[in-house]
Amino acid sequence: MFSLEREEKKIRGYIVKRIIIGVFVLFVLSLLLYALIRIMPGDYVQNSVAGSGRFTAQAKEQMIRSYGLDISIAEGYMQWITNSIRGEFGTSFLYKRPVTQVIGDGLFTTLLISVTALAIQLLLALFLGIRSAFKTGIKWKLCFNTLTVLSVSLPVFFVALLLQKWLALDIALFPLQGQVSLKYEYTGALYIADVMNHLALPIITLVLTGVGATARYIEKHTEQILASDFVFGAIARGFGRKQITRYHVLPNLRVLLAVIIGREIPGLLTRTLIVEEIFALNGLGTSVFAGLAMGDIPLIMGFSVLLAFIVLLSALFEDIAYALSDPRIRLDKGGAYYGT
Amino acid sequence: MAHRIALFFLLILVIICFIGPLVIEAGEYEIFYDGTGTKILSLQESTSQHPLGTDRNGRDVFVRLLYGGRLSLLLAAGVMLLQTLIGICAGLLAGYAGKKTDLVIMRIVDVFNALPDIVVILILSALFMAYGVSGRERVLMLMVFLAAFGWTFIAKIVRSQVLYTRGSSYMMAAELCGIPALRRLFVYLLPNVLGQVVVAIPISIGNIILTEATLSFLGFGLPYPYASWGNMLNEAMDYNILANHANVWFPPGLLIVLTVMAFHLVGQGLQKGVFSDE
Repeated sequence: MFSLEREEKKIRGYIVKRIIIGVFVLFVLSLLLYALIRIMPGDYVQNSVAGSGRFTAQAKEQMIRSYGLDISIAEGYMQWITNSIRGEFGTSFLYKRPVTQVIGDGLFTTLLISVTALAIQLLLALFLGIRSAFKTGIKWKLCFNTLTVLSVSLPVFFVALLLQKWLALDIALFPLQGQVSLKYEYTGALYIADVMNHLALPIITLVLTGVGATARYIEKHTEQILASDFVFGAIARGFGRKQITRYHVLPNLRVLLAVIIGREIPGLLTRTLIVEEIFALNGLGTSVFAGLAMGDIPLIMGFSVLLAFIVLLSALFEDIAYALSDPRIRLDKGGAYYGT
Repeated sequence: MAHRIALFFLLILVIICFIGPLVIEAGEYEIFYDGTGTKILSLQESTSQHPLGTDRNGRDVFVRLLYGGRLSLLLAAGVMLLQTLIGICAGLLAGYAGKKTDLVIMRIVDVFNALPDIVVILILSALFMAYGVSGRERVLMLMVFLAAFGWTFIAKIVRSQVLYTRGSSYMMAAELCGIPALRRLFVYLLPNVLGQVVVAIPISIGNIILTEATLSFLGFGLPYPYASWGNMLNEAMDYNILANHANVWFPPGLLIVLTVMAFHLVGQGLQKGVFSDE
């Protein structure tokens, strides 16, 4: 017997189960990563001291002790995990500031770019995908197919370089790189306009490389919706394309959009980090790439935890959206995979 | 039509990339000097000797394109082989061994699917670079990393096909005849599953090439001294080269796009061919 209350309870239990698995995965990942960094022979002290003869052996030893690199891996990990449970992720070796602060500074730009890009990408993909699903002409289909395949095949860095060359150097429409103009100090609305001007190319890059897959996904599902009986009925009752889109297509795509967002996040994050590096923005990418090269343990660990957190959250988001969209998906048997 | 053109393009590309380096005597890291033999021919425009000019270090761009293409294609093929092997084994196990095993394997698939592969491989590569692993070993390492992130989708395809076929009457007949489980899996089940896997392969190869190029561009992929389309594009991070010497960075970028696109189109063609016949 179907009862709404029981279904709700089931979904709640499912979410709790997923969160517990997520936390466990987070724990294992952080342990593996910490062990891996520590096993490597080159540590931060070696990397930063390399090339300068100013340091005596005694000074080096003192540095190693102050960074906590002298204790064993197990001990070090226990220390790190007990501190991080309390929300203290330590001080970055490289930036000499708390890791949360370093990451927090970069996170704003990263989020600003990626969220804006994702919003534009979704709107564009909705428009193109639904439009294409209504079309039956072979020319349009061929065009749509080629363009979406092109978008999927574009390497992020190549698009970024092409846009830099074309729109920043040849036409000089947008600034080449950086986040704000260094020549002028804008305030208020002008400052915002200046930042948006600088972020335009990174955002266009992200949209161009992401829109293809999303549009294709939406087109496929819209075609399925359009082939269903209720749309046939709507056409029989004299509904036009606009009404069908509004009352049948969009409501049915709503949950799918959530799935798409959940699925896009890991890739979007990666692309954002690369774009930040190329356009020299003060995002997460820039500070993390530098920390990676130097063996800055607290920063790498903090970033990885953030990464794993975002990723698990988005997977959870996707699964729940799936479960909500279709009660036939059997929640008690391991989740969304059984439905697809 | 489009997938025929794409297949033709790939064939030509493979032939040129594999025969080219055998015919041309210049190595991938050969530096060219001017007539006096003292000055490096850096950043030349295209000439009859160097059809695409030379890069900052005086290396022939066209020659490096060929070597880079060969390595990228080989690496992608190797990764594909490796991940197909892992994926088929994991998928068969998940589909056939029972609920608990299935759950564990699907959770692992879940985790690998959710992680952003490029960022994780970046972290791992940076660690191995600090470790001082040699170039050749890092190529193999990169293959293993890429395969470690690629096997999941194959496992999913195989698993769902196994679940679909395991209840069929011929599987039951095989079981009743007393044929051992391993033989049932590999001789009776696998051939039915393989078609689906083969169809998915071209698109996956395209994606591997794309990921490898991105990693190489960032300096964490195919290492020095190997040429790769990705690390050739890295030169464009220099303002002067980006602005004035498009011949150095545009051709490898274009080749990446065309190759990946061609693999996607061939994959689509295969899918259409296979699924419309049914």
